[in-house]
Amino acid sequence: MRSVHYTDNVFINCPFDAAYKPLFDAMVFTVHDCGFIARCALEEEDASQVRIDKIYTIIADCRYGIHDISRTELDENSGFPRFNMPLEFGVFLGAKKFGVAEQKRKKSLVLDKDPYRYQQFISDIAGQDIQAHHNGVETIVRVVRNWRRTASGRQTIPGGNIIWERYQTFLRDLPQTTEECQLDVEDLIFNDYIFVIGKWLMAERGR
Amino acid sequence: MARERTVKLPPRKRGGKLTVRQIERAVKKVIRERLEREAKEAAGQADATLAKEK
Repeated sequence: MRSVHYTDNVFINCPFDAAYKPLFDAMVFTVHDCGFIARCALEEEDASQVRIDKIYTIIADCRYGIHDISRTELDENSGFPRFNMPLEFGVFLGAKKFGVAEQKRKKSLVLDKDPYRYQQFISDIAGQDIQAHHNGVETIVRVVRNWRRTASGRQTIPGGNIIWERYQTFLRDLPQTTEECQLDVEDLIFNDYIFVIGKWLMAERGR
Repeated sequence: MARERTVKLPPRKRGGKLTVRQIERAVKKVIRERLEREAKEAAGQADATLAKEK
């Protein structure tokens, strides 16, 4: 059975490493400020469920998906690229292609660090909405915002400048907010982070 | 027979955990304090500009 929030849910398929965290945090904030709900594998702590099964469940619950393939490069230590993001993107495309009617309405944004790099390793995705973020936090806010506006058709989504300024204000408030909420800003798990974003946006809009 | 008076019990204690309501109040407090700080800073800057002009 699909989630009641299916048309609001956005599957975030991106790296979870420390170097990517500023981009990830900004992306999640932007999704919520646009009025949608960010979903990703980090929300599930149930160790008894196989990781790919968790991902299937989340993908089935999300009409939208953001797929960042920028980490598809050779790792210095292993000599291999990280292939989880292209794999999960493939699952998302498969659900869209072969799923029931509501799954066929899925929409994706593909992100990479450079505009045409994907042509060298995953050229079959040509024709999808592919955008470059150049590893820039402000760029990712604007790219995600503009895609949300276009893909959803919603007219109530704030402009990129507004969201970017609001995000910076949110970051300034975050240490005190987490402290007041009895959370640790340095060790904020995904579920706490989206909870704090939701409460902060609600209070900020209501003032 | 006299009717028994009903006594409203206090909300159940939840240990050290905050309620959602308390968290919402805490977030509002953070925003209010920041706005007050910014208003003070703006007033201070306006005073400094005025003093310069004089």
